[in-house]
Amino acid sequence: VDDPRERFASLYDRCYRNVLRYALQRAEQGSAEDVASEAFLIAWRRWPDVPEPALPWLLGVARNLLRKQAQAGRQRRLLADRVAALTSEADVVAWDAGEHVVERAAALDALASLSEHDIEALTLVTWHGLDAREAAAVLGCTPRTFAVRLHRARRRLSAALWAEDRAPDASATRRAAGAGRHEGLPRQPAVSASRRT
Amino acid sequence: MNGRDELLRLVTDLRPAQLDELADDSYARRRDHDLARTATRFPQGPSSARRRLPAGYGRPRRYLLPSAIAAIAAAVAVAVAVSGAFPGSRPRQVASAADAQHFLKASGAIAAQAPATTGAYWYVKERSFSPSLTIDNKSYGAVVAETDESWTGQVHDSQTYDEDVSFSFASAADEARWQAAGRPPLSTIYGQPFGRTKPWTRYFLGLGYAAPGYSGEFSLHQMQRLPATEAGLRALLLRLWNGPDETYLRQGMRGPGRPTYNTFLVEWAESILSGPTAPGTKAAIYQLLAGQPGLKIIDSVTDPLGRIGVAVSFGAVTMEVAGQRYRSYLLIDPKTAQLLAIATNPVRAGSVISPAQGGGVTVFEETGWTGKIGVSPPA
Repeated sequence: VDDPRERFASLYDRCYRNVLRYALQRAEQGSAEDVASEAFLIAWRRWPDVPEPALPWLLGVARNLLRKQAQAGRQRRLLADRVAALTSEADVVAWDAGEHVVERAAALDALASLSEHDIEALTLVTWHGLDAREAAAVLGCTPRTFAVRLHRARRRLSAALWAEDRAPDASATRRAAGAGRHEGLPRQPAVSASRRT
Repeated sequence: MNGRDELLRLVTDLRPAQLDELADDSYARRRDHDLARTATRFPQGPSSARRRLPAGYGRPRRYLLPSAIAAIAAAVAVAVAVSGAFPGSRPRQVASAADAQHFLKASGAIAAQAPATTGAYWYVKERSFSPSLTIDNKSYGAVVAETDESWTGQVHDSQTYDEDVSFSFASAADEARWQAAGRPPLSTIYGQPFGRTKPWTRYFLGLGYAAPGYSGEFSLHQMQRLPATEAGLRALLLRLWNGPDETYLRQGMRGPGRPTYNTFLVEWAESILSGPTAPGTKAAIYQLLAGQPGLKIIDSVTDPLGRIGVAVSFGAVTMEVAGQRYRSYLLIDPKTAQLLAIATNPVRAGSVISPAQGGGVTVFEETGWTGKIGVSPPA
């Protein structure tokens, strides 16, 4: 297919839902749809720049647009809050506690205790099906940097789940203490991980 | 919660089903409107701009000093084979794979002779140079430089990011173009909010080292005890590369993101040569690298800090940065066999690696043992 319009429509058909799902993690539906549409508008405007595969590039643009919304004063939602808001009864029923050992609520608590930075790394490779190189492209870093991010996020999630197992009331303490504090180490400086995602 | 597969599967299963439902609904509702809007706002079709290229790519190399340009000319004219670890002072282009093998084996011999040392924390100070884009991924030929310091212990780790952040442009014209566009905020390497350049520090508990290619993590002690023979290290790396038998979700060692063994080996070489590993392990990785196909070495390459080394590339080993694919180089000090830098920028004999060209350069300013977080190794 040589016609750019047809190729663009094909790209839209293939990737719109992926981009929207990503935006929905950060914004409520109306804003998320605006972001997804804007990302495709930018892709069309800069068509010769769009690489193949295009999805990491599109997610990177959507990520920047979501930040721009935040800078313009529009509330950017915390990933954990959005996940909680999007969770339905069907998700609770579908959860296999036997397979995962922990209850869904406890697992969600552990995930929510992580920084935005960590949750983003984890969800890029699980919810959005990206490999390390594609996820690195979304974040604008090298695969090496991304591998370090993911590694640390996994370790912190593991520590949080372990804390859940050992101390059922620990999650509330962690939430009160804030992201990045759950390891009992000094609180990080004012530049928090959530500001960096 | 021990296996990494299980950990990521757990996150996967936390994904709300409603995400799919909302996406399907929105796609059905908005598709025609979005496509029509695109055609209306840009009826002339997509931009005729050239395909995006790395910062500075295709423009004259403005960072090169006249002496460096003369050196390149000399290197092209005099391509000679060498023996030993490049003791000569004249820049030379060395294309022979046999020369490359010889250099890597010689580097292994040098690494093996280094004294074995240890300490409480392994310290790494890196300065990275990377293309910097604007919020809509537009390039104005800007490069961001930043320094990171890390302390890795057996129990506690710490990392300070974004020290000495600075931006530069490939040319005055690029900078003028950026200013004319209203000075749009530029991104930094770790992708924090645009315009933020303050250092930040994080503390970790027992994270150890992220091994390349999803091959798990290694503690400080494990890094120190990696095999110190060529055969032992080969066996370990092959086992890690082959990965677990079970499906690692949709990606990982056997998924579409799986690196080639060649790439995997080079990524491990970066970790081993810059990490808290024994002299024998460093020697072993050099021996393994010497057996790789497509070797090429380039003599007298200067890193952005002014240090001169030998650049080695490995056939099809490339790195993708911001949608572009670049050849990867290791820059090695021929006298000490230390890793000076990792580059994805074009390098030529006798030239300075230009941060403005390519996908980025990471320079290892300092590595070594220290007794305390926040303190660099004694001189």
